[in-house]
Amino acid sequence: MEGKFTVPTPDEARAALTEAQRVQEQVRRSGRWFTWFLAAVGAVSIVWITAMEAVWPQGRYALAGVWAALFLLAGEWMKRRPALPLGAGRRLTVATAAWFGLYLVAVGPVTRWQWDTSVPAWTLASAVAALPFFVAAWMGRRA
Amino acid sequence: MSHPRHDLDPIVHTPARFSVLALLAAVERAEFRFVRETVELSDSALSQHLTSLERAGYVTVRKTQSGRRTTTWIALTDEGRAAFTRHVALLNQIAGTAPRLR
Repeated sequence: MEGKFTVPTPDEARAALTEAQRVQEQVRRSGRWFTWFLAAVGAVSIVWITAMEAVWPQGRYALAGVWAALFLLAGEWMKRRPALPLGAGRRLTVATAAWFGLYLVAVGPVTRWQWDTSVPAWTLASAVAALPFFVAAWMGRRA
Repeated sequence: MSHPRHDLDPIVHTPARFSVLALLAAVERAEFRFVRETVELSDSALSQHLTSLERAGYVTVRKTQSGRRTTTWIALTDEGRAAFTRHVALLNQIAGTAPRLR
């Protein structure tokens, strides 16, 4: 198949570059689900942390199980998408690690200590912890 | 200084393969059907091009089984990304430095 090798004319070179650009545009359009996916993970994490810390603290283990199951299902769903945008895995991993770190060592302990089980405080705190997901989603829109 | 045509990679040079690499350069990995539909190739043509690209070390082809469904995932290797980037630079050079014919 590599036998026929013709040097492209400038017009052919331009046409090839235009076609490559068209393909990449189409791929980027079909990868927009990932931005919404990250935003959805962020939104669900706000609901989950608020529910677990302020609304139903005695059911935290059940809610933790629900979160873990949802996270696994979302991961499986993500793996089945026909195309995974460039850097998607890294963005999700970094955002998840940052979210977990914020919740576990910064926002979580401070909110628990100062406001105990106040729903508005936990809503705000979980929104702050979820920022890495929203930042990762926003970065994807710019890419 | 030599003309950029001397550096053209015959593996990447084929329009269909160049389009496949362009697609893969924008994703972490893509499913066979997605590539076929986006690049507008038949199953057999895409398979042949993928074989050439895989042999050159430019892509990896991996099959996964989920129940009765087999999915073929294609991804660009580092060498493939470098070859694609090099080829784009050369095409840009050819498109921009064309000698004018009278």
